[in-house]
Amino acid sequence: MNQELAKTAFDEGRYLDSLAIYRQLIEAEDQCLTNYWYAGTAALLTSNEDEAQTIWILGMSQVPEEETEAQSQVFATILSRAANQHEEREDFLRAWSLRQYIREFGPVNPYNLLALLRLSLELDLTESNDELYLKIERTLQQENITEDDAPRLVQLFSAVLKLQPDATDFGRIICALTSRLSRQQHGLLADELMPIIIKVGHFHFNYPLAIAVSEQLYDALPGNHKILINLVSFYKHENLFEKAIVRVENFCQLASTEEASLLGSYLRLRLSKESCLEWDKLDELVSAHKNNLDGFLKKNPSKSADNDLIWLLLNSPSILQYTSDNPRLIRRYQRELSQSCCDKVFPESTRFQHQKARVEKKRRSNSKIKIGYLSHCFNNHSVGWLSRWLIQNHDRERFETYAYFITQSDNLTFANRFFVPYVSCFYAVGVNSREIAQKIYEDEIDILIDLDSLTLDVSSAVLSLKPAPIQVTWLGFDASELPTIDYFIADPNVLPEEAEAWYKEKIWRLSDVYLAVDGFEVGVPSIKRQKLGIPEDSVVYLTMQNAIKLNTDVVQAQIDILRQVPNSYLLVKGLGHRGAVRSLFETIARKSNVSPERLRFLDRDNSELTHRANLSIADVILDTYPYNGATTNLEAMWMEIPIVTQMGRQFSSRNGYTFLRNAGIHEGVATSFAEYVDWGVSFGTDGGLRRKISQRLKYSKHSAPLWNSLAFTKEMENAFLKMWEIYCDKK
Amino acid sequence: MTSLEELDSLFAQGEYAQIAEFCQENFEETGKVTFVWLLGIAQLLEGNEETAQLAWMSQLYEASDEQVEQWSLDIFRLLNKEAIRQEEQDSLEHAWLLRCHAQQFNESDLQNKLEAFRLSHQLNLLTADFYQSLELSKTLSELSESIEINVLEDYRETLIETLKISLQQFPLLDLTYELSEICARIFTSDSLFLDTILDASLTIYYAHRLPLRALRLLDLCYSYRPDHLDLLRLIITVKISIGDFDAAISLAKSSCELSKTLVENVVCSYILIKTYIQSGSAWDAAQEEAKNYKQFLSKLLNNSDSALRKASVSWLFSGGFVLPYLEDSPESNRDYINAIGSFCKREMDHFNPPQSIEINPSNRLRIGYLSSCLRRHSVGWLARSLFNNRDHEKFEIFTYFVNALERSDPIQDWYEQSSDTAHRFGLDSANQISNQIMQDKIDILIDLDSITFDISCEVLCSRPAPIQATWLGWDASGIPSIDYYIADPYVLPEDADSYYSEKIFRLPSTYVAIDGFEVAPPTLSRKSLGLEKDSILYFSAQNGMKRNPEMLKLQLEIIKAVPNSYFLIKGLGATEMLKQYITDIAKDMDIAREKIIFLGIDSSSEIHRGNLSVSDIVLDTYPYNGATTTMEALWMERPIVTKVGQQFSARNSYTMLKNAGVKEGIAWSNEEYVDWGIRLGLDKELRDDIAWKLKQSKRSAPLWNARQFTQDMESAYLAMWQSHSNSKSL
Repeated sequence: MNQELAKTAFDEGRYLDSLAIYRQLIEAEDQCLTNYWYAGTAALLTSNEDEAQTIWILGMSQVPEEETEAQSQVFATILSRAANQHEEREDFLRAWSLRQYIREFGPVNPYNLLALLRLSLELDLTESNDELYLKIERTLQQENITEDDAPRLVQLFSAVLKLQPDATDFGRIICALTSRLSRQQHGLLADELMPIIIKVGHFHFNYPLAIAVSEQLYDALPGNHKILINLVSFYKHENLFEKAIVRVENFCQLASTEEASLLGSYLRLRLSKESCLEWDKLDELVSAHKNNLDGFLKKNPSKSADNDLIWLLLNSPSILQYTSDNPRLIRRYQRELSQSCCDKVFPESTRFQHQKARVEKKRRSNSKIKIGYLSHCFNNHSVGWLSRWLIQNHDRERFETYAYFITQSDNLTFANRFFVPYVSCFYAVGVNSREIAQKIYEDEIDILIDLDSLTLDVSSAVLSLKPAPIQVTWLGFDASELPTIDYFIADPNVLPEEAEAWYKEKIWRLSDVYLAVDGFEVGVPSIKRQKLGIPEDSVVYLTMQNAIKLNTDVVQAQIDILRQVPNSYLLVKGLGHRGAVRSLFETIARKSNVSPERLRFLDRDNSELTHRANLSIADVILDTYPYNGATTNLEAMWMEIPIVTQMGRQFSSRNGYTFLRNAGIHEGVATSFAEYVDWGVSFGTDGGLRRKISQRLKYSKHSAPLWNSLAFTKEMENAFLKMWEIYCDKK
Repeated sequence: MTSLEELDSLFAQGEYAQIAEFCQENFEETGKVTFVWLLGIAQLLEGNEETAQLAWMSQLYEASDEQVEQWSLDIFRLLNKEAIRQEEQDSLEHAWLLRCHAQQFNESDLQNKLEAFRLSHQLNLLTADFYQSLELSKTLSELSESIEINVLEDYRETLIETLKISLQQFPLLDLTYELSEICARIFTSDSLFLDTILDASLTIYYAHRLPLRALRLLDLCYSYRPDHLDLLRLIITVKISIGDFDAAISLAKSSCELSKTLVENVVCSYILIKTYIQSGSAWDAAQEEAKNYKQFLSKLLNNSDSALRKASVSWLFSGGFVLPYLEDSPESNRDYINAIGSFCKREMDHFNPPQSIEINPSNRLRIGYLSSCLRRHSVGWLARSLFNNRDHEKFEIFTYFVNALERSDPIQDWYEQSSDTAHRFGLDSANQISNQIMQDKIDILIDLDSITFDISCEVLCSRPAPIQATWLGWDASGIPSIDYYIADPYVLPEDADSYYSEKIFRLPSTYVAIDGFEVAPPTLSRKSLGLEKDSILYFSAQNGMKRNPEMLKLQLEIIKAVPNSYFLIKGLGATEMLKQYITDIAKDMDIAREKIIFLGIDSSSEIHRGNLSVSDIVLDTYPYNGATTTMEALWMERPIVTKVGQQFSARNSYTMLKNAGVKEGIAWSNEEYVDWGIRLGLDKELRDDIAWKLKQSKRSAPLWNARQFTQDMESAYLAMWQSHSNSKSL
């Protein structure tokens, strides 16, 4: 009778009352063991921890040996219920207390441990968590997880994830868990898990762990493009290109929609280029990719197609720029694709509208034009180094400048030095494109300068929402063909005359060159010919592009140059699969009867400044085609070293040409591989010619528009004003 | 009814609650206001400030003016008494609290305010606001007008302390200046006050780097001690740093007139010369004064039983510094420098007798580098090679950073990380440094300061290492305990051995080499200077000390002879005075004013180097060449014109050009200098040839071959060590 009363009181939360009754019962030596468990719990919940422990220990001493396990379970169940109740009420401290005891006296239970982790994060009691993480990991690996447990576990996982546990430790737990879950359960978890796995990889640099978890997830959810994209990215960081290719092949095989196929062929082709593996397969891959582009563009993406997936397809044509110089075709692909993707993911109704009233208001008040710069490169990235001059030189009397830095990192050192002091407002915005677009819209930016083009999906998304009435692509890459971009900045040379017909954007040609810099910071050189085993009087060629820009034609041409220039050496530098790049050069060298001894493969330098200083080890810089270097060419010109470049018709194949031409140099600009080789040989055998070019490069610094960022800024500003005028008139 | 004595003892026991009760009762009974005062104090000590105030105010409010006056004094007296007791009982917070309240009842009591100040400082509660609220200068001023001077003497000690603390904590407040002013005025002949103010201005100038503020205080001192030479010297230094050369020269002249002892004569004469030279426009006066200086110097050095203060000896080490700027006479200059070196060592030995050194047991040679300049400084830029390229197996590097405690500098950090062991020292640390070097059992101590830093000189005098050598920082110091001076085949002429006290160790090629310099994008352009792109730009960047009228005239001759040419002049000390001076000379020579362009100094060395690319030709100075500036010009591939002399400082550019593989631009006379300048200006191809040669030279010329240079230097170390071992075993 009393027992009932006690239990009722307990269930109703009247712990003191219930405790009083239980005490009596215990005193009266009632044999029911559960009394002890309840009593102790009640004591604990009324802040009588000492008494709780005493009661429990007393109870445990009375448990017959054969019942230990069972009673332990009963104990755990009672306390669990109480803990759950308190968690629901958000009384985390009590819940935590209870769960500690479950941990101590109850059977091993991953759910409880995980709940404990969650509570410790809620209560900020994270000091002894290292042990806890380890315990959870081990428990998950060893214990049985039933069908019933799984959903609760997954739910709990989500709760914990929201509290931002230590990524690496939690990553290991995820690994342990995912290895025990079913495919269905994986699906639930994948969305929640990917952000944290991305952190583990790209912010904590624990790529092996990120890979391990992603592999498991992908195995459970094959064909999941989100997981695949990240897995491939992690593989690349660890130089595991072969593994990435295997996964992507698998994805391609499973692809059942046009969009999935297109993504697959894009990733495949890209990997092939970046790794410098599979030369023999290249044509095949290009073909397949073009087929998929045709296939996708033929039919409109279905309403049910995943928007995220569609958006990932946006820059799938651009990879073709690295394999062929066919702007008419590639621009068409890009135009159609951008239109299609944009209409699907960001239809007109979702985009910002711009009122005429604002134009009037601005005109009347004669206030400054607001220029916004959108980029994820306001750090030591090519675009950062090159765009700072324009931004620094802006006339603050006539323009208000805003910078929107898409980043998830805390490191703003570069931005603080080169951008923040020069703009009216600098924002480090996250990666949520809608939020970023909203901000730009609220800031009433008149002209938004896109420094990213297709190189980042977030930026393309922002631009598709049209947060500013005028949007201009400059510098970052070739034009994106998004329907919401109005202008693409070029010059008389970087796009041929017929280019206007290829672009949906209006091409705005500046009068001299589409970019100007005042120079580069140069450090102290760290390599010498002697150290590389190269004789002082030899002719040294240097090629310094990332592997993606290499192809058999370029390498063959460079080897041909070596062959014809006695006592010459070729230095190869740049990102990529080192083994594959080396193999490519050496294979072609051997085939052409050039000793691989004349090749040197250089490590990357520890900073851009040292890299630039080290350029002077070379007599001649060899550029790539059909995708030129841009920053690399400018740096070489700054260091006054002659360049051999090959130009084509597409934007990316004319950077070398436009820069050299602006410095008054026509030598070294080839229009075919044969000419390229000829120039390379000329430069190699004619020291006087090299000297002449070097001198011209030196003197160009006094007068070429390329090195006069102030004049360039003025021209850009006039362009902005004109764009604004045109816009006002249109309205 | 409690008596006042009983209350007093209750106070002593701290029974404030009881006191409050009793006072309340007593007041109700007797109506005596004293009890209200005491009640208030008790309340105050209980932490009930408001109640205390209420209690007092309630009485004062009703009172007549006379009563208020009297009562205020009474309250004050009681508060004061209690404050004293509290302090005796070590309850400083209470004491302070009481005194703060006491202030309101007697604004003119200086002692109370000074005590309150002191207590707040002891309790670490001294804020600028509190300081201001005390109105110390006002009170002191009023007091000084109303009482006799000898009464003020009672405040002397407290005031000095107060002044010291104010200057330390609030050096920049106007209040502090006022206080200093009044103290100086009242205690006119009291040197302790003036010394306190003087010390504070030293800190403000050197540590806070605020010359104008320092000057304010210094001028204050000067008005009372116009004949205090140390003071004068400091004022001159500060005036020079703000470019007020007129004042500096006039003060330097006064100090010469005031100097009495021989040492003072020497010092003041030196300062006058240096001031003349630094102004860049008093060359002849400098030469004249140099004659006096040498006379004084000779007299001093020949006086065998002088017993100088240590500070004077320290100063004297650098006595020869101005000589190479004035004339290219190495024999004569080095006579003086060597004599100074010997003299100073002898004197220093009285203070720091040399001790015996232990041998380094390890099989790696321990090289110690002693320097105040391993940071963003010429020497810092140039010495990196030896740290970058050294042979770890044969050598251990110990670095001793002098005057480096307050400093945070990325280059210094680099040196620290590149050393095996590094120690940093503050000022006044010569003994510490010597001891550390001995403790570290350094085999070869390399002196990078020469005579430019007295602490280093002191260290070298005490000979803490068996082998000592001077390199890079300056010409040799002439200190007898230095064994070697490091040179090369060019920077010292063949007969130099005869007038150097050190043994000259000539490295095979060059005495300095680096891998390169960091260069920033230029901030100047021909356009921004308003010049056509094909104008010929000559360039000279030196501090004012290196300029003299003879060279200026030669340089301007070049400009005159080359059409469409301009002269870009840059450097410290390019004050209005100097600019006027140069433009006057130009005018006399019929050179258009527009052809001379004065440039401000750049914000960093990197930018300075970047901006070198704007110019076509660099014109060096004589008899004191550029050194780092020359290397920077060569790194930026600019042709240089230099006149080669006899002394070290007149051959730096020569050795650098030789080691860069360039022979053009090397002149042996004034005529050749002008010829080269004109020739380079008229012959673009020649300029381009030289620039190309300089570009190619970066690949393998000795000047840019840090690795080879380090190997040569390390061979030198081994040779020195071998030589030393041999001589010991003889």
